[in-house]
Amino acid sequence: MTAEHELVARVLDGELEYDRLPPELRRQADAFLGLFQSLREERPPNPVALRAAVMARVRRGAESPWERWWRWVRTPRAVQLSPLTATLALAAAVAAAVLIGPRLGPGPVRVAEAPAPNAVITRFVLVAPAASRVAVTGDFVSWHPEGVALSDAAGSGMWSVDVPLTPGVHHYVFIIDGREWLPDPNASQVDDGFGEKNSVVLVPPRAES
Amino acid sequence: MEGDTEAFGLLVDRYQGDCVAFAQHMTGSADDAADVVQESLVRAFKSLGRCRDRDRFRGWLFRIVSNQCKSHLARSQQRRHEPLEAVDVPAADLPPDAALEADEARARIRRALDALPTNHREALVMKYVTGLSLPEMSEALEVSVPALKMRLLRARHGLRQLLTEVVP
Repeated sequence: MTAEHELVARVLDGELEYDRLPPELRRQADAFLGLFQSLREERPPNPVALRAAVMARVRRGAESPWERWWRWVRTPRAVQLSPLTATLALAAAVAAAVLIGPRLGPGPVRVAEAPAPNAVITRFVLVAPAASRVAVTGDFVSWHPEGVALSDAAGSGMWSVDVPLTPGVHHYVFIIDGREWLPDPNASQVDDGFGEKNSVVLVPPRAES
Repeated sequence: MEGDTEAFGLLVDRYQGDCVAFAQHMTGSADDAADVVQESLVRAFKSLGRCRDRDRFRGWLFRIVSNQCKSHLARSQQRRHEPLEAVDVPAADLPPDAALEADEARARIRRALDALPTNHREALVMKYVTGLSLPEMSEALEVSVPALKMRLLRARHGLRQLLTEVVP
């Protein structure tokens, strides 16, 4: 085994261009680099589930308390109740529905009651003639599942709403009839990390008057 | 960048392959590598605020992966050696004899790397498999560049000793 020439060492350290290596020393460098070339070629494919697992944990960590609560209540779990407790709980629920229910109207999300000073009014539009309800949700309402309701005053199937957004990039989707989450067909889309698409809107800073 | 999950997703796409390749050589197991990298990326997201220089992100990320690999090795005490199932990529283009030789050569290199001290194997894989620069490795391994060059020199020497018939 021959000792490593200083110039070979500099090439292997990435400090000297390979082309500047004298030809008689290249064999030494080639032999060593060739070893790792074979290891680079056998590089394993990315584990398909790795990204999804990472992003799921990252999103959970970035959730607001409201979002954590919402995920908690959506997660099915077994609950054991005695017949007496179940009967009392059911009676209480019925009483609450009778007494309080009629006083409650639909509860749209209220965004930006006091919009940020730099907020820019942004219009969301979706043509959906068959829809009876359309809403938009996104990072600007912490992905609230009710979203912000769009209106179709003319009954033409063109739904729209104006939402004050802070300048920057926002991700959103439309919610059709409270069930179907649909990215905006007229906007750029990005993966949401779970195999679905979100739409992207870039809100420029408001022009100073 | 901190807290921006979408931007972080792009970083995951960009660097997970390098991280998995490195972790697989360090742990000797594809499953363990995936676990280590998943934990490392989640920790990286939680600590993004501490990475003040985006240009040094890769080195900073590899510091986390490297530390997670060491923790994993300390927990498991002994590395497990699994055949790499995805090794036949270059072999598909080679005649059977050449493919067999290539597989055998790679197996010998892996065994030689495994026989090296952990810090030497770590440096060689980081430099020559995942392609980190010396400054990135300095960030990742928290070692000065001159000390790193000395470590690489010794690691190369050690590897050559184990592979004398392959490397002159």
